[in-house]
Amino acid sequence: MAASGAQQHNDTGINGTPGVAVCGDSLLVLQLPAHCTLSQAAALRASLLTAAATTRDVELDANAVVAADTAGLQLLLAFITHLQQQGRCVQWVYVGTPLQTVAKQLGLLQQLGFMARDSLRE
Amino acid sequence: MEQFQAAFFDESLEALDAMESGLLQMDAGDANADRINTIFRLAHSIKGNAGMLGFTPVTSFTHLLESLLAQVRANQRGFTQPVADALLLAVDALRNMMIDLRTGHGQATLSSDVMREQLLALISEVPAQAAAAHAPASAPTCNTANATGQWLIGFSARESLLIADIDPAQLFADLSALGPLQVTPDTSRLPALAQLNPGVCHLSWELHLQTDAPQDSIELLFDWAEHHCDLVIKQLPALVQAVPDPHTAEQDAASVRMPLAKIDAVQVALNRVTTAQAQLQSYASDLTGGAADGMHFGMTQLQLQLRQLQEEVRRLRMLPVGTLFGRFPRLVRDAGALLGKQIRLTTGGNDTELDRAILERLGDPLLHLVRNCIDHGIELPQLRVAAGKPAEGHVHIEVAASAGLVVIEVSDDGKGLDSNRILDKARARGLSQAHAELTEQQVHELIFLPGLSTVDVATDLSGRGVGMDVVRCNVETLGGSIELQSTAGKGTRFTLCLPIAVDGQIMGESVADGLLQLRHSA
Repeated sequence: MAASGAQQHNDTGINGTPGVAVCGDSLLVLQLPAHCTLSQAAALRASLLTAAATTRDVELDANAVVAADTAGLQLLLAFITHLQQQGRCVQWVYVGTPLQTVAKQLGLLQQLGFMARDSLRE
Repeated sequence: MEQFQAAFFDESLEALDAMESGLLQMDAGDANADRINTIFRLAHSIKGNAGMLGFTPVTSFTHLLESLLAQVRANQRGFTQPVADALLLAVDALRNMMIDLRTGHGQATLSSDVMREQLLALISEVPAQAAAAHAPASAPTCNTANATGQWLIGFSARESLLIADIDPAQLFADLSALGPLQVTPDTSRLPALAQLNPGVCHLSWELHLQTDAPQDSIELLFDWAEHHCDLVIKQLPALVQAVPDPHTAEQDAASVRMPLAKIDAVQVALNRVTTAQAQLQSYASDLTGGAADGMHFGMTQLQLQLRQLQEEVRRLRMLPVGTLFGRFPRLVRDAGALLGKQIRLTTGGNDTELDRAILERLGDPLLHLVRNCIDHGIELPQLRVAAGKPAEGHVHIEVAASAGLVVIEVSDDGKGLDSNRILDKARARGLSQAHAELTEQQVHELIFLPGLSTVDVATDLSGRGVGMDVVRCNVETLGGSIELQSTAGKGTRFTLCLPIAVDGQIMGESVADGLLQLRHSA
């Protein structure tokens, strides 16, 4: 689901990766899975690595997320850190209660960018 | 692994009995902080051990139970009747889950799912308080006015933490139930995404907790992560000292768990040594000369020592009869609610010791007698009041030991046995013993005949005419006897007289796979 309203289309190297889509010229939308948890961590890591391998800014769409845990948030934190180190922009859309609750419990609200309300559309 | 699992099931079932007992000792609306802490500690221990053994459904279910307890403990909600009922039912569901896991069956899943929903519904009734407890200390919603203790906790995950199914987020959520919690993560060890093993937690945290809970309550929350994290807990200076918790983890330090089979093996070996000693003594009796006196003296000493050793081994099998009474308060509570009766249960002589083999066989007969008192003896409150009695009926169990015998009395202050009704029923059933010349005592003893009940409608408790004859049969199988005394309008007393220990044959039958808790007398 593209939250920005930009048109989706496939992009070389992204095609076939679940939850990853390119919007417009530079924005890549990453649709997070329902379970950002240890049990699904390998698949989530693969999606994140695919997105990290591009040079685009990323929009993380958490609309489908119903469960999260430390393993999932740790992966997301590593992903966001990677993008920030490359000077790329990352923004969240549709961050629901599961993600926020666990992020708050772990003290990671700021590190994950949940405190920047401007980029958080709920 | 099977050995660990067997110990886990035994310990957990004991813990659940203790939790149930603790819950029953509290009246609704009057939670006792120490008891709540103890119950919480027991639940937490079950959760931790289940987590280590990979029993995830038990872990997650116990976590819900624990969350509800945490709300009570943090005064986020009262210990109301619905909460007490839910906790007791959750203990039941957890017990069934344990039994199913042990036997490999799965019947408890459905009931535990239903109970899970009930617990979740209760827990979610206090979202505002929970949110406050989960919020960082700097948030304006936190009320720190009442908390005087401040703690600095360093938590660093080891590689095994996540694989052991322990989530720091859940640990911190539990911790925040004790008071306002400020969570500061350290992400400096987080590797690059490409190098990150998602099964390993690379983060560490500094936690600032404001609570009046004692240190062991904080430590308790981390005990199931003990081997999977590095933990430092410090009380910050210049603060009021936390009240020490009287229930320390050392409570069980003076006991050791041992399979009954091992004690039996010792018993068998000892019997062989005793036989050999008797043979030697026989040979020694034929000796003459200077060495004979020394041999006779030595043999006599050996015989005395062996007798003492046999007595010590026999005592290893003894358990306090009070261990049988754990399930009775729940029975009285539930049965009283079911029948609309107010009933108080008291016990005496709980420390009297009996052979484990007898205890195992005594449980069901005693349970039936208590049920009988509740169902047939104790009257409805209005009838009691009309008869000049307190509305609350009284069931009492008294145990005493003397000269190798143990006497157990189960009594009530109810309406007593109705002789005419018993006689009518016995005659209607064509029982040949029900002839006209019986004394009142003989009439009363007709209730021990198979198939006789004076109740017209069978209830969930008793009244199907099976039971009292089985009770007598079970007691007599143990080499004991049962008598009753009943006075109309005053009540009924059953008196069981049993041997304290049983012979080797009965003992051998009972110890196939049991575990015995050895108590250290020091």
